[in-house]
This record gives sequence, C-alpha cells and structure tokens, in this order.
Amino acid sequence: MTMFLFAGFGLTALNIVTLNKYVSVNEVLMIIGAFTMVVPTFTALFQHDAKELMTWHSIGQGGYMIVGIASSTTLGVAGGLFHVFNHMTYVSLILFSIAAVEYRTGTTNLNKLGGLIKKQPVAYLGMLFGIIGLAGIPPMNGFVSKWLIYRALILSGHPFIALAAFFATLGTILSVYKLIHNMFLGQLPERYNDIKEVGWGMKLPIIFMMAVVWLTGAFPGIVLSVVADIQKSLGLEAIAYSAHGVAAEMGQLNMLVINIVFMGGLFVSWLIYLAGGKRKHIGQYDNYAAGHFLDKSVPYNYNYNFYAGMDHIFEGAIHKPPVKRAEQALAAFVSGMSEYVRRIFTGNITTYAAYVVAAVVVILLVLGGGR
Amino acid sequence: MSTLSLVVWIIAYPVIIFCIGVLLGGYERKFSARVERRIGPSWIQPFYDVIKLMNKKTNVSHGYMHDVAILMLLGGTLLTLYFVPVPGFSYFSQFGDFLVISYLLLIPSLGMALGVGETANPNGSIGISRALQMLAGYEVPFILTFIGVAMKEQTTSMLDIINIQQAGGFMAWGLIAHPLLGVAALIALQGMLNEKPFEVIVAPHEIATGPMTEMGGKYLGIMFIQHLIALPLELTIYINLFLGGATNWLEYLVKLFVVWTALISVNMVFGRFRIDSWWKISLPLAALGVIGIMLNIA
Repeated sequence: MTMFLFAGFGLTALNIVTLNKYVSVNEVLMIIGAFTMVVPTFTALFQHDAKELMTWHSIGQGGYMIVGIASSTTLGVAGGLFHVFNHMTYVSLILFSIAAVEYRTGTTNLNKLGGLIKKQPVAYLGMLFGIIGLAGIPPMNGFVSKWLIYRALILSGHPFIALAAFFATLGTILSVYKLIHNMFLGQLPERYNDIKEVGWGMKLPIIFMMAVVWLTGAFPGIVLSVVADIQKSLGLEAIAYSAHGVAAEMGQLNMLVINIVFMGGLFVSWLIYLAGGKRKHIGQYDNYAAGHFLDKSVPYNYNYNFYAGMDHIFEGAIHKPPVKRAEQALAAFVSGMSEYVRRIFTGNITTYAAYVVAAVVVILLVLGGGR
Repeated sequence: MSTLSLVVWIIAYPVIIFCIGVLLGGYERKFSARVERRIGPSWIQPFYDVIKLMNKKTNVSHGYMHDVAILMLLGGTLLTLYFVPVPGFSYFSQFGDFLVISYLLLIPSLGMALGVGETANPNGSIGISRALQMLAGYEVPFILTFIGVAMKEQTTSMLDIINIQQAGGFMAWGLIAHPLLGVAALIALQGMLNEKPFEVIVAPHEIATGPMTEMGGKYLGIMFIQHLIALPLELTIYINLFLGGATNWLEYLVKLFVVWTALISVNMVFGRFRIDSWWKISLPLAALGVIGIMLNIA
C-alpha cells in the first residue's frame, strides 16, 4: 500500500499532502512502518521452520525501508533505498545456505537439524555472513543502511520510531541466532553422519554473495553512488558519500577503518591465542554432562523452544481476548482486501500475458510521446 | 595529534585499559571479601588468574568455530575500545559515533554465542539463549536513554556529547540534566556487566556456568582478558554519556571507581533474578526513559 502511495504521489507530493495540522501522511506511514518492523520480527522468533522464519524477516525488513523513505530526510531516504539493495543480497545468501542444507538433509525443520557446521562449512559461513548482514552488525552491509536510518530518525525527532527500529533489530539478532544455532551448531544427530558438502554449483553462489555482502559493507560508496543518483532524479538532496562511508558533514562513519581495526583486533587476539598452549580438537560426545556418560543413544541438545523465557512472557499477552479479537478483525480485513487483489493476480497465464502486452504498449507510447 | 603519539596511543591504550580492568576486578574481589568478613585475595588476583589459565597444558576445543569465536570475542572488544573516547585519545571518534559503538558491542556477544553453540553442550546453549534475551532487555532502556540525550543535543557523536557536558560545567552532566535517563542507564549497565541480580546467564549452581561450561585453559583465559577490558569500557561509555567524561586520567579513574562501587554494592545484596523478572524491571525502565525523553523535548 505504501509503495502504491509513493508511486501515485511521489515523495515531494507526500510532504505537501497533510491530513491536518498535526498529522502528516509521513507520520502515518512511519507508524505503519514501525509496526511492520516489530510485529513480524517477533513472530519470526517463534517459528519452527527455517524458510518461514526468513519469510517473516522479509516482511520485517520492509518496515525499515518504509520508515527510512517516509522520514523524507536525506539520510533516511538514502538508508531506505540502500536497505532495499542490502536486503536483496543477504537474504538471498541466507536462502542459498538454507537450500544447501535442505538439498542434503531434505528438511528445513529447525527442531530436527543441528551440528551441520562439521559437514557443511561453506553453507555455515554463508549463513554467518548473511545473518551478520541481516542483524545489522558491522562490518557487513546491513549495518550501513540501518545506521543511516537510525541517525535520520534520531536527528529528525522521532524517538519512538527509532526505538521500534532498535527493538526490531534486537528481535532480529535473537531469531537469526536461533536459525544458525538450530541448523549448524549444537549436537549433530546420528542420522546426518554421512551428509556431505554440496557441489560447486551450489557453493559458488554462496561464496559470491558472501563477497558482495562484505565488500558493499566495507565500501558502501559503490552502492551509495547509485542511491545518490536516485535521490537526485527524485528531486531530493543527494547523500554526501565517500568510497567507504558517509562524508563528514553528514555524520561520522567510515566502514574501511572499522574493518581495518577489526582485522587488527583479530590479529592481536590471535597472537594472544598462540601464546597459550597447543589446542586439541575433541568430538561432540566428549562433553561435560554432570557425571553422565554420553554416547550415540543420548540426545544431548537444546534447540526446541529456544527462547522459552520470552515465550513465557509473550504467551499470556497473545491469548488475551482483546488481542485475539484484534487479530481476527485484521485477518478478516486482509482476506477482504485480498479478494480485490485476486482480480488482478488471477493465476491465469493469459491474463498475465495481457498485462505484459499492455505494459509494452504503454512504454512504447510514453517513449514515443517523449520524442 | 602527531603520527608518533598516535602510534604510541594505539599500542598503549588496550594495555592501560587492561591494567585498569585488573585493578577494578581485584577491587571487586576485595570488596566482596570485606563485606563477607574475609581477607580476600590480592588486588591483582585477576592478573594471576589470566597467567595461570594461559599456561594450562590441556586446551580442548570442539572445532574451528570454537577457536575463531574466541578471537571474535577479544577482537570485537578491542575494536569497540578504540571508538570510545578517553582523556587524551579520541582519534577514532571521527570514524564512528555512538550508534557505531553500540553495534560494535554486539560483535563479542555474537562471537561468543557462535563458539558456545559449537561446543554442543545444552548448558552452554541455555546460557546463550538467556544471554540474548537479557541483551534484548538491557539494550532497550540503554538505547532509549541514548536517543533521549542525542535528540536533546542534536548529535549522535559521543565526543560532541562529552564536549557539551564539559562546556556546561557540573550542571550540564547527563545525570543532573536528565536524571531519569541517567538512572535508567545505570540499572541497564548493571545488566550489561552481568552483575547480580542480573546474573542469570552464568547461574553456576543451575546450568554449570552456562556459556563457560566447555571453556577451559587458554579459551577461558582469553574470556577473562576480554572481561577485564570490557569492564572499564562499558563503565567509560556510561561516564562519557552521563558523568561529563573526564578531562584528565585522575578524574577518569575516580569516576570509574565511584560508578563501579555503586554497581558492586548492589551486586552484594541481591540474589539472582529470573529472565521474566528482568523483563518486569526492564520494561518500566524503558518507560522511565520514555518519560525522560518527553521531558527533554518539552
């Protein structure tokens, strides 16, 4: 709906359209965006299927884009547009990894997987880079766009929308850790002992997307140049960017320095690590179990209902009658709306073909009219 | 700042902070011993602990992520350290503001979580599950207090916030100018540093010290080093935001010890809270922050 509004009125028009003296369309859109961030992210926390979890996050991250663009500040719009690109990169990376796991194990049920890091290290690394990007932690690209959005929200005086953005980020960290832990960490079930890494056809896309997620994080200028062009074409002030961050007049961010200092920190830690004695790798059954002996017959893992404490807190609230009624009303509203949408997306291939022809005709007319 | 003094600072800064961390850690041991009418260990006992652990002959790990995680833990903390300004050294503040610092602080947590996950011990996983739920709990009030301060001063740079407080004198200190935010952040800091009553992550009698269950030898040693660096680091963030930073190292040390004494005094008299009890504290704290922001805007 938001996108339709943008398409219909344009950004500058949105600034002029005000419902009354106190509430502007921007504010309404930002509140919709805030709910879009928080609610799906915390729904994702309690999913038991990897792909369903990621689907909820795709909705949640859409909220950041809406909030960024609706803030209609230079930084916010740049952040929202940059986030569209970032979301495309890290979500496809995570889905590649999930696909690699599903290809070998045949399941994406988070309660049945575990310990696959030993068997599929490349898929694990892809997932790791992807979740660092998704959670918006430096040094990956997701951090840059989120930084732009937070700064825009704080400086333009929207503390509660900014808080919703932070809160959703924390929810994201929790749920992506559940995702990587339940798939790749913890105890490896016996039935997956013969799993092998996927072939190069599936490994190469993962490695390529890892490089994209990291490089656009270290050198956000590559993408920000495009974002600045988009802003200019929309008639907005373009973001002042540098090759590795945001120019000094728009705030302090230099991702290259962050990367270099991080490498330095890792190097010093490695030296300290080497100063200690020689390490030995041990198997998963060689583990502390309070005096019990562990072997293949003993399941010794914690992944079902990973955030039990949080479940306990939210469960009571979710089942209260007002919440239930609101949820049912919303569901009824959405299914009613969907009836109209279904008339456009009929599922009939000839209808879609007619759309394509119509679009081509319109484009040709527009181009011809331009001359 | 000349290149030479910059290089000297870059090398000396983590070492100085580590030494301060050792003193703060030793002070905590001594303080709790005196409260319990014991003599207590020496003032630099944490240093002896680190030396002992690093010299252990048996160092077992559960795989490569376990090894890398320990590097991410310490490397991420060192990274964060450089972006936090202290008296005389604020070179890196031009490359990252408070928003960057608050997100860099997540790298050690994430690294540790991944490493503990690979140890395949449910005690560790439960500890991490609790740690992340706690994180969500204390970050909300902490970030809210920062949003309040940043909106009032119209900057997200930590250095600017320090300068504004120092220019305004004692009455411009965050704790005095916006007391609600200051108090909320102080309680969130208690959770950040894992002090009782918010110590459910480690819970030694219940889940075998949680994340540290499968850590031993140099792995535990590096975790100790990280803790001793993170301790002054997180206190410094609070001092910079709410106690006017510091103009010289003496003032800085005094402020560190005052805030730390307040936190460990609370630590001594409380038992351990459950996760949901912590949320019952955290949400009113966030509300306190909201009221503080409202007052600031008005």
